[in-house]
Amino acid sequence: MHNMQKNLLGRADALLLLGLALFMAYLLSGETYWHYLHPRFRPVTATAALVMAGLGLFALFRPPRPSGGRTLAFALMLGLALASLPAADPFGSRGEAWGVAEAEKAEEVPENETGYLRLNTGELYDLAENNELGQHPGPGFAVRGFVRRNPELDRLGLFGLYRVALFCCFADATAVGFVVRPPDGALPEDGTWVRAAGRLDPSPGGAPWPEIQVPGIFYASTLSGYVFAADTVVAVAAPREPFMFEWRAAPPYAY
Amino acid sequence: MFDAPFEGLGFFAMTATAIFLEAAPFLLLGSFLAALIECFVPPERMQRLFPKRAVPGVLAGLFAGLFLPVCECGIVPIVRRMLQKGVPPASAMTYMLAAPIVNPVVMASTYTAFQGDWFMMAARTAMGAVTALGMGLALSRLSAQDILLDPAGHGPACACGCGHDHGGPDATGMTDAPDAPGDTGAPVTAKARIAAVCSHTAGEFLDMGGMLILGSLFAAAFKTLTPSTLLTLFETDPLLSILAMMLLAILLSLCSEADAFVAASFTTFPASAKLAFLALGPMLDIKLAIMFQAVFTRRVVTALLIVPPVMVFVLSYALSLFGP
Repeated sequence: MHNMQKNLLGRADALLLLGLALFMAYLLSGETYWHYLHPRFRPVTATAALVMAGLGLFALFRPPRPSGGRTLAFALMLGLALASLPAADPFGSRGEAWGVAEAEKAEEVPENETGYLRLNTGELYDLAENNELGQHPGPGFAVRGFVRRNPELDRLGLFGLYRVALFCCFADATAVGFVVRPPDGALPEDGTWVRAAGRLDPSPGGAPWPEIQVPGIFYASTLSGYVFAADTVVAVAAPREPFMFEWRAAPPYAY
Repeated sequence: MFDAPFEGLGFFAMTATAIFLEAAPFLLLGSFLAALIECFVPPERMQRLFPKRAVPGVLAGLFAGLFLPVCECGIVPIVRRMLQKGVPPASAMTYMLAAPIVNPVVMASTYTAFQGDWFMMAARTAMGAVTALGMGLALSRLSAQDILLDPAGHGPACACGCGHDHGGPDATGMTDAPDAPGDTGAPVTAKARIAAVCSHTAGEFLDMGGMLILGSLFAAAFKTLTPSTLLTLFETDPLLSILAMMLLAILLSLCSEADAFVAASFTTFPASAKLAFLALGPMLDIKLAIMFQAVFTRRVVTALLIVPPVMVFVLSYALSLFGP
């Protein structure tokens, strides 16, 4: 390869490093970051972006040994990263139909939900798995999440209610939720956010629930052996960060 | 909210980007450590740290993971540089396989993910350690020349592009070898050393980053295109569930600090299958397999692709017969 071509390829690598560093900086500067990574990684990403930018600048002046395949791979990565913007919003977090005021209002405890323990689906899931449901006196629990409909559940008058747990990055996200029986038999629309207040009852026969798919999420964990018998199901705005980034083993719960 | 186009390319792009963003800082760290080894640690000092005999060598490699915990995304460049500096393969290869599992961060995350289940944490650590020790012993008779595609650190391994031939001992600046930075034997300036570290870090990161990107693309494609229902077909059979979870570990390419949370969510799978997932993933996944191809000889790559899965399978199956 001609020297000039070598230098060009090497400098292209340098520019791609700078491009990826800028992409990371862009994510850090706004609200998009948590779509990709757990917020606790922000300092790690910020450091990596700085180092990558530094290396990119260094490589502009001292181009690395060229490799066409490598340049192609980094170009593809940068292209995909840009193509993924605006970040996927599979869980309705933008909530266009809801303003901030509505979202806050939706989180007030209405009179008919007084006494219900608010927690997220992961926290309630763990309480059930650890046989600790009885430790919480009161009328029951209130959880919020997005609705997943399934033909088998429809026939039984049930729907799935999920939140997505993100541990490190979007690739390891899993959905955690329950099968819900609405009080009036009315099934909410697929994908909408609702808050359900009620209790976990053993499911008839304890049979496992059908496998419910959540788009973009490889595995949806549905609590088997229980059905969430809802006393109320109300439409709510999706939280600003719809993923569950933490769940707690004791009150105060993350909700 | 769940639109069809979004389910396709959007999820694929987002997943691939997320994997890259998560792994890139650790690969940068690995590349930086490898560059420091290259530029500041002379081979004789590196060799003194690790015993030459096989059994003490693999044990040293195993315990190195406790003191220098590096996840699997950053481990390959470090081990390549260790081998180039003359660290015995028994230690280096054991360290490569053990460090992403036998390290305090991963142990803590496993303990947390399984809600304080000591058995899961201990069994995962033990399975990883036994497999790494077995592999280290198996490779202990080989030399760096038998293991590395580029044992002297020329070729793509050294991509700093400065035009010098500074593999192995020459780049430390601590010898009077002809190709050291400042190859006249004159003292090396701090500026030259910093430039050498930057060169090596950038070269290493670009080389391994290309492999990481390929791995991310494969893993994202698998995650986007494969329904999880396929996996749950196997959950009731102990043998098939172990195989299914091992395959999943390879294809999903998750970080060893997060994979325990994913494994814990597979509540319907037996503990032995979850342990197979946890023990194998940090030692072998798509992105690692692609990195192995770029660094190790075909013989070693074949061994790395076969031995750990077989050992993990045997250990997990034995556990399913005698344990939970």
